[in-house]
Amino acid sequence: MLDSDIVIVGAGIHPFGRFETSAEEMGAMAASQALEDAGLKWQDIDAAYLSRMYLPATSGARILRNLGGTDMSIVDVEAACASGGVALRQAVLAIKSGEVDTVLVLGAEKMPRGFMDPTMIYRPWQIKMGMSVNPSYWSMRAMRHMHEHGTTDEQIAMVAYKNHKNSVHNPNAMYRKEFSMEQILNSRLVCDPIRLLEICAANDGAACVVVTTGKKARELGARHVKVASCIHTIARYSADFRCPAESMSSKIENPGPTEVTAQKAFEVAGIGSKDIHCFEVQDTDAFCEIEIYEELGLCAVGEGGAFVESGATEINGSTPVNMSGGLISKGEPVGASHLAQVVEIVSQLRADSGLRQVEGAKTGLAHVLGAGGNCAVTILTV
Amino acid sequence: MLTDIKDGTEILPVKDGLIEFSQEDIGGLHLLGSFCNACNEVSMGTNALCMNCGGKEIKTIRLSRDGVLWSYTIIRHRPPGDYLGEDEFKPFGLGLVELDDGIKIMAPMEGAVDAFHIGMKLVLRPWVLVSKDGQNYLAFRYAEQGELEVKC
Ligand SMILES: [Zn+2]
Repeated sequence: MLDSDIVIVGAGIHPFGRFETSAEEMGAMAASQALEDAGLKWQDIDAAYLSRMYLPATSGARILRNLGGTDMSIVDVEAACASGGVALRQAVLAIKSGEVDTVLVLGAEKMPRGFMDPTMIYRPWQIKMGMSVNPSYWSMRAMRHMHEHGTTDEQIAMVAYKNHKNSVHNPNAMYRKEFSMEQILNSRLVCDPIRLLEICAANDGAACVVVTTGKKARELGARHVKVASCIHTIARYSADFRCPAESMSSKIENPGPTEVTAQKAFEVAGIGSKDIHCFEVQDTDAFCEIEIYEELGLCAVGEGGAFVESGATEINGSTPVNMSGGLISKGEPVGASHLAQVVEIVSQLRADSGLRQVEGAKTGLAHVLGAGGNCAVTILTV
Repeated sequence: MLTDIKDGTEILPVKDGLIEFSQEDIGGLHLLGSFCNACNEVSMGTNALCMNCGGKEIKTIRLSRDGVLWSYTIIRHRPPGDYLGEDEFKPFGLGLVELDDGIKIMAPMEGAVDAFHIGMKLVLRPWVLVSKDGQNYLAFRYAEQGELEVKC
């Protein structure tokens, strides 16, 4: 470890689910757990970022004042599903600037019950015309992939089967129940071809990491994991109609945000997709994960369905994906989602993951993608 | 057709600058697009700036009424918020429709949901929505060519 490396020295999580507990309590709990894990006190922190989308303004200050009075900079950041990636990236950049040593990065969310308010991402006319159903945009991608590449309903269901099965071993997941292929394929259609047991739920939760320099980590004697890269981008013009777009070009087809962000992350980390031992990715629905295999370069374009079918992405496969159970079983408290993926990879690289442990994992990648084409990729190594 | 429009009630476009039509002949509607003189890209609606290159030399064009279904889904549950579709919800199609103008647009679909298939030839159709306070809005849908009465 170099003195100048940026490393995670503490991780904490409040389980994902539906709770009476306030966001303040959940966030404070995850933060205090991360500090304890790092062997640090709140007074040792130089700055903090809160990742959130649905919580009100100044939530960072409101949550973190529960840990004690402070005059440090506490900033809320928002980038839809990629909010956690942006918060972590801000911490990395702040430490690299030399102005601060140790930063706390917290993600917390308490999502509205029932359908999310469509006015947050859709225009009034789209809502009037019934075009404000989130899964519809992902479903159209699935339908096109099936048409072009012969991907099957069964292959899509296999992603949900695998992730639900993995979740049984994750005490922080919302649903910890295994479902049979038959149960998944018989669950009701939400937006064809995507079914209820293939889709993630909005919920509540918090996750936190403490980030510092290699020099400081050595002084602390902390169990550290290196942040090899942390990148955020927005989808290019005509790259992804899930933004959700009103229209897109049929002449220009730019690479999608996952591919672009991952390429930058691989470049900064100095390693490629084949060097990564475990992955946590945005399975908003089961099909998304198939497309992400292809965009991360884990398999060729069009072969994502066959890839999951081969068992490659199981915990004991060649390329484990969503050991935690993924968003499909954890749920997606938006602001906390990416940081929970990072907490999972930290646990994997420390060999702390028990029955969902990937044997000998030394590198891991966390990926999120959401509204506005916001995408974040974080690569961790030991 | 369109018997729910009362005589003399003005119809507003569901969004300004998106649809060209006359009160007397809503079946003759056209969607409008913005053509960029700098990069030749087309976006939906009348926009001041090009979404590809930021160019300001924009020409408003009428988009083709014909299209081909590029992908679709079927929405099985009532959409949230201020959705103005039929009171009694029936599953409907949502499609990404490729037009001749070098653009694909997102639009609801008219017709039986089990008949939709990628590559299907479509035509633009008027769709009148009525808000809770009785205002008529002209929106649009795509239907299979030849399936329904098409005004030429
Ligand atoms: Zn242009």
